[in-house]
Amino acid sequence: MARQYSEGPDEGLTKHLCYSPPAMTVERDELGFDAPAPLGHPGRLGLPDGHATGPEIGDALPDFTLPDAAGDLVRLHENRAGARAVVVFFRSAVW
Amino acid sequence: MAAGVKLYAISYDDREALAEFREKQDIPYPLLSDVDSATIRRYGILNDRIRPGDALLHGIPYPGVFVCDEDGVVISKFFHDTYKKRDSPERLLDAALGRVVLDGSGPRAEGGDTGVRVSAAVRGGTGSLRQGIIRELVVRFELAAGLHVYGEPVPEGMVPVQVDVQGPPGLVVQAPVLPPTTPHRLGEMDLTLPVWSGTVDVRVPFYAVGELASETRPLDRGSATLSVTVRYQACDDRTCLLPRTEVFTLELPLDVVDVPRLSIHMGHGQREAEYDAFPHARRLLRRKIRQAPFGFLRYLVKQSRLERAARRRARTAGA
Repeated sequence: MARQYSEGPDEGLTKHLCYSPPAMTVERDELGFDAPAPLGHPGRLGLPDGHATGPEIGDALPDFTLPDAAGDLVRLHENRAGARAVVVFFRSAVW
Repeated sequence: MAAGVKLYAISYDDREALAEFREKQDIPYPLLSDVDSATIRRYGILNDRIRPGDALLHGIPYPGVFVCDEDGVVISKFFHDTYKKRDSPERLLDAALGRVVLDGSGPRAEGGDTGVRVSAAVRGGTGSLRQGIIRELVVRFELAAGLHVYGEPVPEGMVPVQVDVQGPPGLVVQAPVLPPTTPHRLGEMDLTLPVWSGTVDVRVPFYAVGELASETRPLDRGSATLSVTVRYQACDDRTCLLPRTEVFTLELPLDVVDVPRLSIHMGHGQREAEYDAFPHARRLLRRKIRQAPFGFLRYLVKQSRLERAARRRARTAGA
């Protein structure tokens, strides 16, 4: 697909929410990364120094039961059936 | 994931959004929907710097990865100071398996000496670069039986293994990750030195920042050149080969990033993905505004303040 760069806000969003997100400014952060949002925007706030990051090495990975994309419930430790597992927590598949 | 390792990916998106993402991006592993962020909270990794009402953001985690063994015990985890840094799938797989698997898909160069083979290869993903994705350069020594190379510290005059990686501006190279050495006793000299023998992998993690590969503008070049300098001296118990310095040059293609078609991304992406994320974003935003309508109003004020500050900075930089 060809690149389509729109200048203004999305009309659909205006119509459905009475809110049009302004085109956000691209800024480079102190680590050298570019993102389509101004510095200090909540979406750019990283992990603070020394902040805990859940279970540590040597801990049991807590079990959970969550629906997959088809709606079937997946229980981690039952589903992996004794295999090693990689569990990725990511921000969003939408944006 | 390969080699009997299971992979699960969790986000706060609803099932409908995950179903389309999974189909359009051709994802074979389960995407799990934690709509109320209950699991994210229970794990203690909710991004608590984002306030309720911060548009569609509240409920996301500090992104990261846990690797567990057969018994469900965490054996490795990956969290970074910014969400922009992400570990390549190969890095996660190596952590799960506890060894480096070189599959030959990335750029590779090799050299060596009698009884010594040295290669430099980029691990996985056809060796490509993109903003923030942490890949590894693997320098592998394959030593004939009886030969060893030195770790640090060694006495003056002996040459430990050294690996130096240089790249274009915007390539960030992290400190080499060395395997543990074995103490080796040289009887005649009454000296014990740290050595490696057999197959030795020195891993050097690296990633690109905005100067080289940015997701907010089209790429201005197709590839980047990595220059890898490896210095070592191989010895057996009686004699040493001459110290060697080898320079490997690897050409790494730059990856185009797919940005979902969404108003907040438009005009910023390297390439637009072939599906429209807008209906999903609308549902998500409505869900979040319903949860904290006043927070959302506060967010709008905050956003306009941040935008004004950004424009001021841009004017100052341009003046």
